[in-house]
Amino acid sequence: MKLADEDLIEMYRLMLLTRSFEDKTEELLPTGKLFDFLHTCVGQEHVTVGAVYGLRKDDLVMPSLRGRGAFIAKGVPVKTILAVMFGKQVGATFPKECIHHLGVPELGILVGTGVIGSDVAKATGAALAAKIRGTKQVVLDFFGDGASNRGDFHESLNLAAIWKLPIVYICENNQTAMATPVSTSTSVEDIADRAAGYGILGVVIRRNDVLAVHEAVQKAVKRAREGEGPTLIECKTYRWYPHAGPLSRETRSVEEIEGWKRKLGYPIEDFKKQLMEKAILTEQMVEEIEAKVEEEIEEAVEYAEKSPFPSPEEALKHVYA
Amino acid sequence: MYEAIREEMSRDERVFVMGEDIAWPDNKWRGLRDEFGENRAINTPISESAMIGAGVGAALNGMRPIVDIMFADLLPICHDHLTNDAAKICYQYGGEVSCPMVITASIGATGRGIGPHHSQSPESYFLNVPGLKVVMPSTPYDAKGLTKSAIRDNNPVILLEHKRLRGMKGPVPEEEYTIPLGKADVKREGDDVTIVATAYMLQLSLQAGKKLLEEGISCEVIDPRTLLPLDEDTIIDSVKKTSRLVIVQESPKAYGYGAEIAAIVAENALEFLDAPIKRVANPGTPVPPTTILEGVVMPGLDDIVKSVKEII
Repeated sequence: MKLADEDLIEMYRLMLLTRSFEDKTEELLPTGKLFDFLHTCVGQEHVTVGAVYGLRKDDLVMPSLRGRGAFIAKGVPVKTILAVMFGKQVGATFPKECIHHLGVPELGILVGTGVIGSDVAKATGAALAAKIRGTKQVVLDFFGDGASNRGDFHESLNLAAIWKLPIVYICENNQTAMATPVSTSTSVEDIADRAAGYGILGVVIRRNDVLAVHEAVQKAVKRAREGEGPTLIECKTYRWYPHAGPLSRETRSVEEIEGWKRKLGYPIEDFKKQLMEKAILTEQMVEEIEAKVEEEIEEAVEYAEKSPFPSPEEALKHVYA
Repeated sequence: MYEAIREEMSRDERVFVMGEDIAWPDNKWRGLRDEFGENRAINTPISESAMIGAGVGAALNGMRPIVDIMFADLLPICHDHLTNDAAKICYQYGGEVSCPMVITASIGATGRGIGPHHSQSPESYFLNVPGLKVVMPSTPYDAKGLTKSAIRDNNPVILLEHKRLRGMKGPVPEEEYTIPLGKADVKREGDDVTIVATAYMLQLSLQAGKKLLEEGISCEVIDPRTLLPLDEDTIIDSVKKTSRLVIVQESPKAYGYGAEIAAIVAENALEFLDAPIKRVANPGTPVPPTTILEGVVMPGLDDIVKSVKEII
């Protein structure tokens, strides 16, 4: 799909909305109103936005635990996300799960688990169902570098390869699994090299570049939809904030963090610069977008504050269908 | 079970099976592959964890998978997907989405000593997991009816088939029928003692009932058929009538379904009991790999008869 100017502007807006949302949650955390350990994706917004942008509505997405951009790009309103983080009742049913594992069936977002790497098998099964049913859906499965060391990752890639499943595995290699650096935990320099072990295509994206991600994913999606099987795309990136909200102290030095930012680039800032150089974005447009994003975030806070808490009996419901 | 799966696959195109060696000419399900094709009778590599995980994912995308794990001893490999995914989907989605899925696996010692990794009856691992259903049929009639219900159920159901019951013959109606999950069956009526047992232990308990009647002891033998959810009322009502209870299980005694049933009876019908509750079970060892040693730890007919006599 050729991207029009409006698409580029929309991708910029989605990344900015994701970043602003994450920053707002960091700001709200000390108030004690959030029932959530924040796994923010700041510095990695381009991966989910670039990958999800342009999917078919019925395509499925399995976000990683750091996948806020996937929810936002798939169309979940930020006010819904924030209300769930506030532990509030949203809509008719109250989803009893942390926001980063939330399933949104009407938008094709598959429910996740707190067990790193297990979702790779679930996403693979969703792709198997797409193949059996002949729906021509494609599944995007996001996970981190840590998950690529789980057995489920390896079993799943093998299954997807032998059955030629319509799935794109997207590894957000942010260099650290909680506090363990990739260099000490992972046998290969490029996780995408592991694709070769399963006879599938592996692709590495070495910069924080939303368009590079988008282009690689679109190619892989096309192949998957045409029955040519799975692709493993590794996006080298870096997490700018600590692992999770109040849980974790920063284990990495400022020099290391800043060094990685310079090496991989600034996903939103660099993209904005590009668009402005090409006159696709103007100063005035940027200001308007920023104001709208700000407004949307403030509305989300208001909505989350106002929404009711679930009734206590909700805890006992829905164990069985 | 095969008949049930075949009929359900014909009835509902969302139902499919996957498992190891399905394409093998001697596989118990090979006929399904011939009839429904390789897309609905899928041969898998040895990847038990991903098989169950993929089953959950397929259920999330509109299918009703049946995943066969050759030996229930291998289910611990899949424990994560069974307990953290399948069992919790409905709750996580606030009831909006569920996980209609059947996991079949063979259980039990064979009497021929096939060892500690192919002889276990690991139902207890799953009975403490809200969101799962656990079914253990003891007759061909029950196996078919329960399998149909399991496939039509919108929850994940673990269907445990005992190896020693595989060759068993018994009447199965030509016409369509189902047996509801969570409903016990009184397999033998009696007045003096209630015996609760499942699968192969149920068959042994029926033999014990017959033998004991020759000595004038009348046993009521109850087959829960589904352990989770458990039909508590049928058991409690029976104990109120007989005032004595023996529970038979092939798995290790501690924390097994025998313990749960004993607790339920103690909570609801303690005053009706005339004698201590007895449990006949594996004493708490692995299943050893020779016929002689296996026989030492496997509950047998004589153990059941002896336990009943101890409380009469």
